[in-house]
Amino acid sequence: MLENLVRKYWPILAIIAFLAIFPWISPETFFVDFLLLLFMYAIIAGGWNIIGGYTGYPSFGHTAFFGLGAYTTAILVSRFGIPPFITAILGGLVAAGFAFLIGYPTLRLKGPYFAIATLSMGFVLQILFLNLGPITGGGEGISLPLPPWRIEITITIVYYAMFITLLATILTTYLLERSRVGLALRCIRDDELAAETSGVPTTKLKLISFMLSAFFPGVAGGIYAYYSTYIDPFTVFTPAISMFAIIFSMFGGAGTVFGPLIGSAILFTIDEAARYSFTVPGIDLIVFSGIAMAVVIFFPEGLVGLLRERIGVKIP
Amino acid sequence: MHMLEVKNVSKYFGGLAALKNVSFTYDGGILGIIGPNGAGKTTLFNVITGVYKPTSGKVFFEGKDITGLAPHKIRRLGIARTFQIPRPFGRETVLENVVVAGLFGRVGRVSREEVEKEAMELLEFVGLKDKADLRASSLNIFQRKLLEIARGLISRPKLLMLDEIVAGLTPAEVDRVVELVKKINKEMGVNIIWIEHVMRAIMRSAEWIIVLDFGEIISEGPPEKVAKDPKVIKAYLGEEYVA
Amino acid sequence: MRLLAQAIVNGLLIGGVYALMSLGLSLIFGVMNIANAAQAAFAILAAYITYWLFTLYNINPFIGMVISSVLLFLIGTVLYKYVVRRVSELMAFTLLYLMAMFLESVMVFVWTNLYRGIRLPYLSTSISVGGVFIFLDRLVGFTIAITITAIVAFMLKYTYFGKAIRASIQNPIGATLMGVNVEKIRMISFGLGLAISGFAGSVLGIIYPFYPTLAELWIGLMFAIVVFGGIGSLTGTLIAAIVLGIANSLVGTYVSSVWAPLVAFVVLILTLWLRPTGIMGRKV
Repeated sequence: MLENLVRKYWPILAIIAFLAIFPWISPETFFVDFLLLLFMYAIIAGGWNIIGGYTGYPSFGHTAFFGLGAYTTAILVSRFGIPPFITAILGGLVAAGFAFLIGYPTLRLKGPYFAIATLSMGFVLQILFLNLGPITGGGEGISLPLPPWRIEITITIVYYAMFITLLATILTTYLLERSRVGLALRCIRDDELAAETSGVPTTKLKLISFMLSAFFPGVAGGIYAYYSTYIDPFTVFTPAISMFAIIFSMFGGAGTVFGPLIGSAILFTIDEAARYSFTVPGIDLIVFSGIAMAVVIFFPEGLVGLLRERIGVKIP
Repeated sequence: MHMLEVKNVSKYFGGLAALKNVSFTYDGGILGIIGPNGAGKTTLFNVITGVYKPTSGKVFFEGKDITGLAPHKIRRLGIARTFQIPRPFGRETVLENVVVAGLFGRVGRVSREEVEKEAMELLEFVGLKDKADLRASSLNIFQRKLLEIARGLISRPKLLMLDEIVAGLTPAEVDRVVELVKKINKEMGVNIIWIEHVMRAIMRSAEWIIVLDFGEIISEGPPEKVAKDPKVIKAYLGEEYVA
Repeated sequence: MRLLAQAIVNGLLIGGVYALMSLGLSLIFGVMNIANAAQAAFAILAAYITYWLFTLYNINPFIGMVISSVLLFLIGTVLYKYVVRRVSELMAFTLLYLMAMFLESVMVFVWTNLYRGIRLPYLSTSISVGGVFIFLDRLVGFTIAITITAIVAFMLKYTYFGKAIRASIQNPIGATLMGVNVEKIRMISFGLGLAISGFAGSVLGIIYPFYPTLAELWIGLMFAIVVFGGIGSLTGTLIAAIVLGIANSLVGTYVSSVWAPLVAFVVLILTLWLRPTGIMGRKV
C-alpha cells in the first residue's frame, strides 16, 4: 500500500524531500530565508482557501488571524517565557477563537454580512492593539528576546517550523477535500439552500471551516513573531496580508489543495524579485490586485483549474 | 396523531399575504396541491420544510412540532423535498450530489461506501447511472429533475415533497416521471405530497387534492370532485367560465 | 452639560455627511443587491480629484466636487456595464474589494499616504449658539449633505427615473413587466451611488485631512450604518448615520477619539447578533 502511494505521488514526495534537506544544501542563508517567508504566505493563503475556496465564503480580513497569532507569541514569550512554538499553536487557537466570535453572528445569516464583517476585522484589531498600550505595547510594539544562537540557526529552525506548518495545512486541506465534511462544504459553496435541505448543518460546518481557516495563519503569525523578534500593529495587522491571502489562493486555484501554494510560489517570488531589482514601493499591490481582478473575471478557477480543464493535467 | 398537520399557518411578506390561515391534515398516500400561479403553494412547502418561518400557525410532523426548525433538522426527521427549478450542486459529480444527502440527511452514522452503493442503486432506479461521474452542471433539465428525486430518496424519507416535478418536461418525460413517482409510493412506501401545475400528471396520480388560491384553501377532496368544483374552475379560468 | 450638547451638535452635523456617504452604498445595495466594498475608495478618489482641481487649477472646491461627482458617475456606469455585470453576485464583493485595493494602491502611488486636506481658511471659524460652537466647515458640510440628500429623495419620489429605481428595488421582475429597463436602471444607479458617495468624500475632505488608506475606516463605518439602518431602506440609512455620527462624537468626547472606528464595528456585530434586519430593513 505504501508502495502504491509512493508511486502515485512521487513528484510531490520528491519535492518535499528536497525542501526538507534544503537548509543543509543551500549555498546561502538568503534562500532559506526566502523560502521560509514563501511558506508563511502559502500557509496564510492555504488557510484562507478553506473558507474562501472550498466553502465559498471569502474572508477579507485574514490578517487578523496572523496578527493575533503573532501577538500571542510575542506576549507569552516576552512576558511569561513560554517556549515559542507552543505559543505559536496557542496563537492558532486564539485566532480560531476570534474566528468563532466573528463567525457565530454572521455565518448563520444569508447575504453579504460575513464578507462585510471580515472586511473590518483586520483594521479594527489594528486599532485595538494600537491603543491597548499596557498589554500590547501600543504603537511601540513588542520586542521578543533574541534567541541565544547564531542567526543562521534561528533561520533554519524557523524554516522547519514553517515547513511543518505548511505540510500540516496542505495535508489538512487534502484530507478535508476527501472527507464528507469537505463534500458538504463544497455543496454549501455550490448551493447553500439545497445543501441545507439535503440535511447539511450549514451554519455549524461554516463555523468549523472558518475556525480551521484561522488556525493555520495564526500559527504562522506565532512563528513569525519569534523569527522577526519585533512586531507592531502595522506590520502584523496589515491589509496587504489579507489581500495576498486572497490573491495568492485565487491565482493558484481556490478550492484546490495545491492552488494556494502554487499561487504563493509564483507571485511571492515575483514580488521578492521585483523588490530587489527596482524599488518602487506599492507597485506590487497595484499589479497583484490587477491580476486578481483579471482572475476573478476571466478565470476564476485559477491556475490549477486552468491546467485541469484546458490542458488536462491532474493536480489535486 | 396525523403524519403531517398544518395548523392555521399564515405567512406575510411585509404587507403581502402569501398564506392565510391554511389548515389541513395528511395521513399518507399521494396528496396533490394545485392552484393558480402565486397561490402560495411553494410558500407552503417552504414553511413546512423550514425554509421560511410562518408568521403565525404551526406545523406538526408525526405529532412533533417542527414549526420554524432549521431545514437540515427537518430533513433528518424524514421530510425531503425537491425544488421547482432544480438546484443541483453543479461543480460536484452526480454521484456526490446524492451521496451528500445520504451522509447528512439521515440520522445515524453510516459509512461512505454504503452510501455510495445506495446512491448508485438510486441513480440506476431513476435512470442516471451512466452519468454518475459527470459534473451535475452538465445535466439537462429532465436529468436534473431525476437527480432531485434521487437526492431526495437517499435519506429514506417518510415524506417526499415534490415541487412541480414535471414542469418544463416533454409529455414523454412527464409520463416517465409520473410512473417513477407512483413506483416510489407503491413499492418504496414513501409518502408523497406533490405540487403540480400539469393537470394530466397530478389528477390521475393523486388520491386527494388540496386547492390553494391567494393563500387560502378553496377546495379539498378526491380529484374528480375537485375538478368539478365551481370555486376551483373560477380560480383557474375566471368568473365567466363557471357553467 | 455644555460638553454633551457640543458633542451632540458635532455628531449631528457630521452624521449628516455620513448619511450622504452611506446613501450611495445603500442605493447600490437596494437596487442590485451588491455590497460595494469599493464605495469608500471611490469616495476618497473624488476627494483627491476635488483636491487636485483646487490646488492645481484653483477651481472652487464646491464646483470641483460637482465635477468629481459627475466623473464618478461616468466611471460608475462604465464599471458596472463592463466589469461588475460580468461576475456573479457572489463574486461581485470579491471583485469590488480587489478594485478597492487597486484604487487605494494607485492613489498611494500617485499621492502617497501623506495627509491632504482641502483647506478653506474662511471655513475654519465657528459660530457660537448658546455656548455651543457650531463649526462652519461642519455646518457647510451638513448643509451640502442634506441638500443633496433632499435632491436625491425628491428625484426618487417624483421623477420617472426615481420611480423606476424604486420599482427595481422592490420588485425587479414586476418593474421589467412595467416596461422598466432594469439593466439600464442598475447601471445608472451604480453610477449614481458612486457619485453620491463622491460628493460626501469631497465634503469630508474639506472637514478632515484624508489619505488613501482612510478608505478602510470609512468603508467599515458605511457598512455599519447601512446594516444598522437596514439593507434596502434608504430612510434607515439616514437615521443610522445620524445615530452613529452622534455615537462617534460622544465616544470621541468622553473617552478618546481613537476608539471611534471600533464603535462602528461594535454596532455592526451587535446588529447582526441581535437584529440582523437593522432598524428598518426588509427581512433577511
